[in-house]
Amino acid sequence: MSIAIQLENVTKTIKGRTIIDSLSFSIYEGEVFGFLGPNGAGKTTTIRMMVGLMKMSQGDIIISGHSVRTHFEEAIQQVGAIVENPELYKFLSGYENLKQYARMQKGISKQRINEVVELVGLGERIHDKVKTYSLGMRQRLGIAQSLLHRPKVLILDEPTNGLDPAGIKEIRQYIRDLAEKEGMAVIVSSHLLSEMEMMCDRIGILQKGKLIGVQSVRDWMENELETYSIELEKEELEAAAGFMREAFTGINVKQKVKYLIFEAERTHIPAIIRLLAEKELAVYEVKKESKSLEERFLEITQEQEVG
Amino acid sequence: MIALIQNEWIKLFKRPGTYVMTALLLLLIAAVAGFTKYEESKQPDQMDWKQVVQGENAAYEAQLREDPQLTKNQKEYLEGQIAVNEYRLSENIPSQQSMHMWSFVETSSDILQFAGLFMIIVAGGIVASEYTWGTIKLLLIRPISRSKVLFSKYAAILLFGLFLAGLGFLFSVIVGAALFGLSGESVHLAYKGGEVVEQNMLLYLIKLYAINLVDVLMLATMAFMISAVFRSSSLAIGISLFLLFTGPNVTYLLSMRYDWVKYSLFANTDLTQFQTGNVIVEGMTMNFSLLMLALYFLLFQLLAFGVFTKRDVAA
Repeated sequence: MSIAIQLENVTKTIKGRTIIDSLSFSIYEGEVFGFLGPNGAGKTTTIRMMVGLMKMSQGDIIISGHSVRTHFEEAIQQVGAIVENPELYKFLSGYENLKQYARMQKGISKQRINEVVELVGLGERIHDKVKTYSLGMRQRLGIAQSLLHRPKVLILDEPTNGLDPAGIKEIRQYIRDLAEKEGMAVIVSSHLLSEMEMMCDRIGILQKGKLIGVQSVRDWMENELETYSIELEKEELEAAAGFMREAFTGINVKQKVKYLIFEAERTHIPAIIRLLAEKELAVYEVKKESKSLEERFLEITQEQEVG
Repeated sequence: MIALIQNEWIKLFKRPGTYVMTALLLLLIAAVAGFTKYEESKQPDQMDWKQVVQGENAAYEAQLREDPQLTKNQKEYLEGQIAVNEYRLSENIPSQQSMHMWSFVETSSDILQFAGLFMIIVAGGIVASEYTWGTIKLLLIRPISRSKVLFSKYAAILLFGLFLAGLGFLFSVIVGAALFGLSGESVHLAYKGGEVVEQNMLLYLIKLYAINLVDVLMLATMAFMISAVFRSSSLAIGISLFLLFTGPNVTYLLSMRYDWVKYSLFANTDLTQFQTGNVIVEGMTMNFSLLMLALYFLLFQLLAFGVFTKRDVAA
C-alpha cells in the first residue's frame, strides 16, 4: 500500500498558543482513517491545514508526493473534501453547484457530473434549488462535489452529522466502497465513536492538539481482555466465585444481583463453563459485555490526562 | 480564468438582487426622460438659437472682464466656450435649445452614479458573501491559486460595471430617440489648444461615460478591498456609500483651508474638473490626478490581494 497523505511534524500556533502540536502520521491508499477526538481537540484545524485553508506554522503535509506548502495546486488536485458543513450556493440548483466546481478543474465532463449525481442518489432533485434541500441531501451534494474530479484522497469532516440512521448507514457504505473499490484514502473525522468503529480501518486519537495514538480498529477490538457476565442462581453466586478464583488465579470476579462479572480472554470461556457445569451449578447465560470503543476511548484519553 | 469569471457572473445573475438593481437603473433613466419631456412641454416656445448663443457669450465676456478671482484654468474654459459659440455662429451650426437624443444621453451620464452605487453593492458583497455563506471553503480547495480566485471576482465587478454603463447608455439612446426624436447635432464642438474642433458625438459621449466611471471604479475597488480584508459586506458597502455621498463635499470643504487635500482620493476622482478648470486645489493637473488614482488603486489591490491570499480561513 502506498502512502496517500503524509503529515510531517505539523504544528499550528495561533497567537502564541499551540493549537496543533507536531502531528506526524501517514494514511494509505484504500484505507478509511478516522480522526477522533473531543470537541476542540483540533480535528477541524488539522483538516483545514490538509486542504490549505489554514497555513501550517511548522511541518509539512505531502499529498501524493506534492507538498501542500509549496505545490498547493498539484497537491489539492488529488483531494476532494467537505470541511464542516457542506455549504453550497443555496440560490443555485444542485446541478448548477456541481457545474461551478466542474468549471474549476480540467477534464470533468457532463457525463461525469451525471455519474456522480447517480452515485449519491440525488436523482431528479438535482435540478431543484439547494435551499429546498434537506440536510441529508446537502450532505450528499457535498459528497458529489468532492468526488467530481476522482480524487485520490477524500476528506470528510463529520460526514454523518445531521443524517438520519438510514442516511448514516448509506454514507458509511459509500465510504467503505470508495476505499475498497476505488482505492481512495478516506479521512473521516467524528466524535461519534460507534460510527468510527463501523467505518474505519484505523483511528487516530487527537487530544489537545496532540496525536495520542493511532490504532487499527480490529486489533483494538480483539487483543484485549473482555468483560463477561454469567447468570446463575443467586444463592450459588458465592460458591461459583470461589470455584473460579480457585481455578484461575488472579481473576477478578465481582457479584452483581444474580450475575458474576469478570474479565477474561476469549479462549478461557469454554473452560469456565465446563468448570461451572462440573460443579453442578445452573448456568442460564454467558454473555460478552463488549466494551464499546467509547469506553476505550475515554480510558485512553483519561489515562493521558492523568499521565 | 474565463471559466472562473463565468462562475462569478452566474452567481451574480442567479440572484434576484442583480435584476432589481438593473431594473432600477433603467427605471431611473426612463423617469428622468419622462420628467424632462414634461418640463419641456410646459415651455413650448423656442427662442432663436443665434440670440441665445450671443447672449451666452456676452455673459461669459462680462464674467471674464469683471471677476478678478478667476483662475487661469477657469479663464481658459470660458474662452473656450466663447470660441465654440463663435464657431457655431460662423459655421451656422445651430445649438440645440431643446432636448434631443444625444443631449439626453449626455444628461443621463449623471445617472451613472447609480450604476456606481450598484457596482459598489456588488463589489462589497462579492468576497464577504462567500464567507457568510460558508462557500469560501469549497471555493478555495480547488487547484486554483487564491489570487486567481480573487482576480476573477474583481474582473466580474468590472464587467458588471461595464454592463450597467453600457446598458444605461443604450437605454438612454433608445429612450432619448423615442421621446426627443432622432434629430440633433451629430458633432460635438470641443475647444482644444486655442482652436475649435469638431468631434464625433458618439466618441465624445463614450469618453464622457468613461470619465464618469473613474470615481465609480475607485470606490468599487475600495469596497472590494474592504470586502476582502474585513469579510463584511455591510461594512464594505456602508463605508463606500458613505464616502461616495460625503467624500466630495468634505474634500471640497477641506480644500478651502488645506493644501494636502489634493492627495486625498476624492480630490482626484472627478476628472471633469480639468475640463471646466474648476480644480479643487489650485495647481492640480490631469497627470497628477491620474498618478494619485493609480497609487490609490495599487494600495487597494495590494491590501485586498495581500490579506486574501495569506489569511487562514476559519469561518
